[in-house]
Amino acid sequence: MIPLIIGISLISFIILHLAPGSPVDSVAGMNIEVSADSKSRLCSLYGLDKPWYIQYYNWLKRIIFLDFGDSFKDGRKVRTKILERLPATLLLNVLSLFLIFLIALPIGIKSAVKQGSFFDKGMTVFTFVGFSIPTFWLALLLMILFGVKLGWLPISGMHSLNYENFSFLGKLWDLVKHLILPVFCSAFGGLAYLSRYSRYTMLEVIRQNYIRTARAKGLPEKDVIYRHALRNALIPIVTLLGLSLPGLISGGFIFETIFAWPGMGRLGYLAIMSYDYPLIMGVGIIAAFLTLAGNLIADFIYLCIDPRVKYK
Amino acid sequence: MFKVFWERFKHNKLALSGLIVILVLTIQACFAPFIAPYNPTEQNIANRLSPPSGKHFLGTDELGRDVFSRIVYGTRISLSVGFVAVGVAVLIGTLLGLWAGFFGGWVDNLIMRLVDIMLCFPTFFLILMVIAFLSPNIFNIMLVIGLTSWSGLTRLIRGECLSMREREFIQAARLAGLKNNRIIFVHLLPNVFTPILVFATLGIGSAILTESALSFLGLGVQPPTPSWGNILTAGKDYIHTAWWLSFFPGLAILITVLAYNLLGEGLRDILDPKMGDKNG
Repeated sequence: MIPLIIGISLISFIILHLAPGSPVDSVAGMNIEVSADSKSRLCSLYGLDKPWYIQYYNWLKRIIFLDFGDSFKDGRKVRTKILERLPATLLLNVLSLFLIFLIALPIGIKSAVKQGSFFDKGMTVFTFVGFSIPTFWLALLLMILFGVKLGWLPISGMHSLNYENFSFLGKLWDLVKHLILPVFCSAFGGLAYLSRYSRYTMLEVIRQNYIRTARAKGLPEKDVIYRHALRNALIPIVTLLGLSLPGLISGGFIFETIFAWPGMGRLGYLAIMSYDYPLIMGVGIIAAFLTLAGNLIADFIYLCIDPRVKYK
Repeated sequence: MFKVFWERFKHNKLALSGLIVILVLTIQACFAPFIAPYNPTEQNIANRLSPPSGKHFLGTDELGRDVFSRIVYGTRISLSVGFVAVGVAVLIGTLLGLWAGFFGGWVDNLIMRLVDIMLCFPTFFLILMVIAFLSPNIFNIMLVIGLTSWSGLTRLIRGECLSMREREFIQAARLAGLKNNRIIFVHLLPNVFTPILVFATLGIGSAILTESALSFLGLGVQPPTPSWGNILTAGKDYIHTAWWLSFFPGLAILITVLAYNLLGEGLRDILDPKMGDKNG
């Protein structure tokens, strides 16, 4: 896990520093009154005058103590800025994952059990469209329908303007209303993918001999599907869920920008737009870390559902 | 060989319809000036944001430009980004996969660690970063999308090569004293043609999606050049008044990506019976 983080940070760092343009230019580039001298002072203030590998070494040394440095833009600690935004992002992603699992699995099982039925065919069409739809477009359409035409749901932010005046339940309801569209949109792609994949694995499992045995000894069909087949089908599905995390986090950069969701993705997007190196690195590392943590959790769930897997 | 393939292909209705849509789109991209009724960059402020009508049947945008003409021209951007980006990805992915699978040992180790890193990377963030710092023009976009989407193919090809390496025909080629390069490119490569073709077809769809997302965020092809993504950006700004600005470009993306996905899955069914059950 540590080598992976180092690899990812090294690649990001090299890209950042080999790219043309620098934070100093974005602060002072257009201003003719800024002399070359003060530009170079700005450079050394940010520590940008040293070669990139020395800068990387310094950055790495600080990261061990979880010090991500200060944001170029407002001088606040990157760690504080990210920690402020992290809960909103986690809320969005955890809810999406939950939704994906909750909906996709039953869909997949039902299509597999009733292979070739009307439901199965309808779901195949749905998954194909789900793969191909630009989800940010879906977000726009839903915003137009529910936000503008019907006026049922808010289309941006996390809270209403008069949020402070609500009672506790009112606040919760307000948050839920703001969550519906972003969660649905960010879950949509994964939903199509996972329901298709779980259908496929279920079909594989149902063909196995032990399922035939279970049926032959007269178990009710419900037990055969939900106790014997599902448990075996779950194993590859859990792996896929772990692998779908980078996609979910990547999607966050788009959805948080569209819905003005105050999360890490939007923070990262704005950081990139303003050449805020420490903040970009911070967001990149945290995103990579979340992905790896998700994979670890997937491994752990593995351990719970598959008694054959043991840590070596 | 090709005849057998075509016989099977004809009966796969989904793949066939995908192919037809792709052909139509390609024609549309090649002959855009003859199909588009208006100049896609010609402004007509007096006629801005007019809804779909007989004259502008997909409406006009915030500068009075004809949305249909812009979408027709946008096909060029989407298709060319899709093709070139996938070309880059296939080149890198195939080479690394073949090397990793054939040589094994430390080469394999190194390449697979690189693949692990790419798979854990929030790729879209990486793409955003690179595009924001290099100037966002169409060549950079093609290159960056290609450079970040090869890891899946490498994994696939490596797996195939690993199992093939011990087969008799490769052993025989080695015994015959063939050079490594010759074994890799003459004996291994043709055998991984199917996964490459399927990956490429599906990859074009996802590259088009990525490009449109980038354009949507303002980091793709820059206005006034029309691309489906940057028409959508305008659509977002006029979400309260002009639904047609959001609706039609997105529909164009959906249809195009769907066509490539249908074709890709169809090819997988036809060419690779082992994986064919995925569609049922």
